[in-house]
Amino acid sequence: MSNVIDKVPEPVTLPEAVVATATYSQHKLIWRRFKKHKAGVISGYVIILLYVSVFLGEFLAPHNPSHRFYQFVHLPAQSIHFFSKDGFHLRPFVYGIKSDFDRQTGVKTYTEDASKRHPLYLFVRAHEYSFYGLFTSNIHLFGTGSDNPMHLLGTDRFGRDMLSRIIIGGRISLTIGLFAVFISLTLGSVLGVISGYYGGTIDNLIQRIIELIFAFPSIPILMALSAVLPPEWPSHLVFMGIVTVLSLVGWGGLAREIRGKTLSIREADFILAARVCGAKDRRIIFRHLLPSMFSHIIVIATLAIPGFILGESTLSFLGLGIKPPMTSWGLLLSDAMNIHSLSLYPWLLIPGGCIIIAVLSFNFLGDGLRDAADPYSSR
Amino acid sequence: MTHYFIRRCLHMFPTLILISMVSFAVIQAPPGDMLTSRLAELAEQGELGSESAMAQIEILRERYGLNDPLYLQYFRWIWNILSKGDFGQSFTYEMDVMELLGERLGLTLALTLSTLIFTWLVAIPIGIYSATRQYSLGDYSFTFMSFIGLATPNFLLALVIMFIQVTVFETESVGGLLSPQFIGTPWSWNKVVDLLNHIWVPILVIGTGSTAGIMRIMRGNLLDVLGQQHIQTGRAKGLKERTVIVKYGVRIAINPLVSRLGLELPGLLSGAVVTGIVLGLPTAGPIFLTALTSQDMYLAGAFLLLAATFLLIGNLLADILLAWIDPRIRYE
Amino acid sequence: MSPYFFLVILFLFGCLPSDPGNKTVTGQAARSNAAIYNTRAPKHINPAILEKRAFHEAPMLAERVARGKLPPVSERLPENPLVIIAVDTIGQYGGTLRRALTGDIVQTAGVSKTIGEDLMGYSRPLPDSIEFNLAESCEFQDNGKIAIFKLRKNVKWSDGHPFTVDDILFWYYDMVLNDDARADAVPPSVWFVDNKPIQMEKVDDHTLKITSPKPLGRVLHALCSGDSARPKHYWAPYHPKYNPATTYQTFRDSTTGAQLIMKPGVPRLSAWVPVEWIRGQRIVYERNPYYYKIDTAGNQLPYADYISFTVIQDPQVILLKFINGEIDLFGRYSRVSMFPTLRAEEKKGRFKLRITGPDRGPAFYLNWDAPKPALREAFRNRNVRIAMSHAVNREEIGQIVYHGLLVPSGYSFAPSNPYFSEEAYYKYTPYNPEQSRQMLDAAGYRDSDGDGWREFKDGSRFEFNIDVTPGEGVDVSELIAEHWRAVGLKVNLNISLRDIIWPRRLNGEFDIHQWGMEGPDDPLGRLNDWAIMAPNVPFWHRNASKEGPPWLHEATQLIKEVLTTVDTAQVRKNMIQMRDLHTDNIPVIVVGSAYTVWGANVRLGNVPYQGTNADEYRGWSRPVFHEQIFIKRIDE
Repeated sequence: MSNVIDKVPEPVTLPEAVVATATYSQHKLIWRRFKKHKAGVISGYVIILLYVSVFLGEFLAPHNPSHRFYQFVHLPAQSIHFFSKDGFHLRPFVYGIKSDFDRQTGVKTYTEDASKRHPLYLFVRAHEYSFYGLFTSNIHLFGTGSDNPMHLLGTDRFGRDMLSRIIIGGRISLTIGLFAVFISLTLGSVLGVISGYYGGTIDNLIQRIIELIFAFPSIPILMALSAVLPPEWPSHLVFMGIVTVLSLVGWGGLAREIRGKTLSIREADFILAARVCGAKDRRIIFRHLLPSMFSHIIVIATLAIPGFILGESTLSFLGLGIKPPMTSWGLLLSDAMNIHSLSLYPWLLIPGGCIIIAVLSFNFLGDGLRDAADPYSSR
Repeated sequence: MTHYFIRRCLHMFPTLILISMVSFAVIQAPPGDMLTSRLAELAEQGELGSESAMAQIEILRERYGLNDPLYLQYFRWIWNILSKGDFGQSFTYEMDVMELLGERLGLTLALTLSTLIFTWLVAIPIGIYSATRQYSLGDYSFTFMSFIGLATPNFLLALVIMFIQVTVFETESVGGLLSPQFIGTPWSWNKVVDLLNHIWVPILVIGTGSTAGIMRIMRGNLLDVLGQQHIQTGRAKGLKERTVIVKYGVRIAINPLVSRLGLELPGLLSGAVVTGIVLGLPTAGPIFLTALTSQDMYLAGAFLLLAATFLLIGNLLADILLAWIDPRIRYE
Repeated sequence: MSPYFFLVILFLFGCLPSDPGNKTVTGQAARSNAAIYNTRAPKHINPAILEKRAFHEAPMLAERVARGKLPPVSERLPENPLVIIAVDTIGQYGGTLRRALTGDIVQTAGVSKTIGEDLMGYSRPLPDSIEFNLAESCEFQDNGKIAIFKLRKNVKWSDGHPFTVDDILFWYYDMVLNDDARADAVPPSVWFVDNKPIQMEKVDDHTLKITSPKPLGRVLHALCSGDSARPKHYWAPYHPKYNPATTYQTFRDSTTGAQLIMKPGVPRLSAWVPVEWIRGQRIVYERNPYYYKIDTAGNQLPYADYISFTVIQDPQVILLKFINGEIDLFGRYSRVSMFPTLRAEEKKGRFKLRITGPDRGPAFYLNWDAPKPALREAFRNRNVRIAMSHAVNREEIGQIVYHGLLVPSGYSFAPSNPYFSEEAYYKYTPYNPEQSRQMLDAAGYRDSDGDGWREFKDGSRFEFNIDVTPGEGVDVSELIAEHWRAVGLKVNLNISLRDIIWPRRLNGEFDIHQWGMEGPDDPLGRLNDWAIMAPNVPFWHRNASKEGPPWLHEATQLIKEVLTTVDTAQVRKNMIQMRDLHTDNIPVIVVGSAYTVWGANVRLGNVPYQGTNADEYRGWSRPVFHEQIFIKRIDE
């Protein structure tokens, strides 16, 4: 096995069969190298955890994310207790809440009601939900089993449970990044390489298209888009529209970078060698050029996913993103973008923390992959 | 080289024409026009009941030629630009579009360029440091910090910085680029100090995002390059490590970034829109957004054209720069 | 029989406490309902000050007088200066009042409402009555078909040029009625009776005669609302009628609302005149040396040397700057959602809050001509509307969205209105979803297919969209949608920017339009949202002239009578009748009347604690009366 790996740096000169084995081994090698990158591995687990959580959203969310607990508006995060004045309880619980509306300050104040304890249960039955339209269920991972208040991350201005909203909102934010990067990466790398490799008229044409797309700020396009979307449109179409526009705007930058890279690599010896050997353009592009830029594409992709997640949040801030009743981290955060949230209800900023965690993880993951995937790395 | 330059310049025109058409169409796409939005504005302020709204709109539409077909309006717009250099009047600001943008473009460019310089000055050395000391404590902490900067949405960062300025430091003047007493006064030492006191916030907010990007790309490229054979050759020849890295590594690793430079300009120009609004900057971004929401078509159109021109010039410069620092690139 | 039989008519719309019609030529009475304050300032001016013209002036003007750049204050003030009783105390000269706007041109109203001066004016801070301002007396003749206004003598423009009736006639005939010269496309309807303009003529330099074929029911109100005079000596050279070398196009472009009030160099009658305007950034106004108002100690107003408006696009940042003490007055952009923060920050002692109202609150305009015929039929059913009103939990909306600063109420006048009636105010507002369901059932809108939603009579689902622009309206709409869903109506929200929502409103293409309540602030101010004054109005019932219900036609007739009578009793009777017709038939679903939260930096003196935010009385700005606000010196 290791003998074969040692020969990787000269794939061009190897006979066909060996190349295939080498490619396979290279993946193995990447995996082994990646495992050394601690931050990357941890981030990878975080990302898996994030995606699993949002996939299981309805099951994990203790409350219906759009249910309004009017009596508990802007409730700060509740804490889980094990000790009451009666002593230790094996089953954790939350206290009941007493609220008081102060007409002088316009603020509702909340105090824990020690006389009421609401124990938490696993696999508890609560509100019914439909799991991606496959089946309906009312089993939730945890909860108090009724409409008792249990808001571990507090509530928003309508008394909606923040934890549930963050879980459900994450689904949109995380998938937007993934979809958008897939579309723009495909477009960007193919066109970027073609443009850089062939040069001439094709290059010119592609460059003009990229320039056009890139010179055009995305905001007016999105505004026009959001203006023509009928209010009756189902939310998944709105979602797809936003993904499409984000990626259509995003691929240009990618393609340009890859073109720049191609321009410098196409003169490299191994490409020359391949050409001398009579390799066809298609083979050179897909066998030599693209793989040699693999690490670069990975870096761009990992840096791009967070870009799309942030892009979605900016759109929401401008009121052009996802529309209620759908929600996303960006929308949740833009709801908190005012002075009163910063000063009085800081828990509304938690979605911002989620965005940061997701973006950080993607970056570290991409970093780890990059270092591992680099075929010419000396280590 | 001259031939290449001229040809690249000629290429800009079809793109510009295409952009002007797309701009015009996109601005017109939402229902209604600047008149309806202007009247809505007035009604919201209680200056006008909807009583006369319809009649107002009809007469004004006729007056401004808004009842003409779209292509006619487009040609009139373009013709005025080409023949008289007249970009039209802004409806929301009641003044010549170029005069209005001109006032703000200077500040916008100053801010954009300072941000660009800031990000490159910070990002390139850190990128080199991180690549040469991969997996060191420094590499990790720089990476972490830059990622935090990248991960924080600009509007959140801007608002939080201002909020902290007010609640913790009780800064005298938050937001904007100048304290009110310096707006419109001639330049003086105090004014420069005041500007510096304000401008670091937008530079930081706008810069944090792209710093991380540039730094990561620099690090990645340099790692790529350092693995290549000519570096090994250099080392084998016994060149100093510093020379190897700077002369043979950085020079090549920086190429993709240079081609990216052209893209940074319009990105910073329009990307700072949101920051501009939150921080209340007298730059072009915020008025562009207002122009879009109020369908102030000549203002929005002029901005889009300008942004496009910026990009094209930026691209041109980047290409020339790239050709200059990387002699392997052919011009045909 | 001469039509000029002398008759002074009491006529204001309500039995307003101090009727300007009563006051005669001297008009010296100190202004405003300052009596409601325990003001420490003298309540009357010492007549000797007026007699000897021993007025005081600001140091910055005294300095100019000393340099010979300006005539002495006794010559600058009119024969009969307007005396203002300060809200709290006689103030000190100097300093800058700092305000903020979210835009300059698009927010012109923010300035005009603050510094506009007219022949008449509403009393401040509460608009209980109409008082004299640039005019010092008014007299109605011929049953109110003729009004004679006498101007204060020797009032001067800010450049020292005398202010005369010619300036009013220039504004009226050469700007408002001249279709070519007017910046707006159509003239304000208030100056028209039966499609013909009311006539104005000059009797002498200080006497204006207004004539109309019908009694001038609205003329005093109309003369309260803005700057009803333009400096003819300044503008005539730009007007093609006086200077054929210019064009109407240039005249129009240079006399738009913003140009008139923000451009440095244009003479004004207001307390401050613009001296610096940096587009989209800042406008600075300096005191008008010829301002015609004095306090009860004989000091020429205003107290503050300057007033500045800084342009800050984001209201959140304006709030932040107000909290930070960079802005002195915060009110135009205050939102109820900011209330808790403001209250919390108030404790630091930098500013003091004011809560005034309640007035204008959120309303839901059902489209009586909704695109869907079945919906149209439902909305035209009075029982459906009453049922929808009872389904709304107003108390909850008040607590959640308005932090308690909302009085749950229906489609009627707010308590500050002269025609207020408690019964009408609360009609159909109790929250009673059960009653609502029963009424909908009885009206024939049942859930026949058991899907949880009611059906129209044609069997399709009872479903509609609420058009709403971002802001508090969205929160109110989200809650009300929930309330209506609870009684079986399928509600969708259409949240879009104003520029998308508004054309839908203008063209009648909406189901329900969310907006502030228009009308009951002062029903005569926004007639077309309230009565069938023209084809295609009110906007919520564009076909009203053809298909409108009898009660709406009746109410319209009542309003038309009000406009052309000067008989106070008649006005009152009609207005109450009209109020009851509207309230009984509940064409619009109103959630309540909201309070306005605003505040002033503690360094300011004489900022009142009362006021109104009603548009008709120039919004929040005017009741604050800026000219008598002063900046306290630090050593005190």
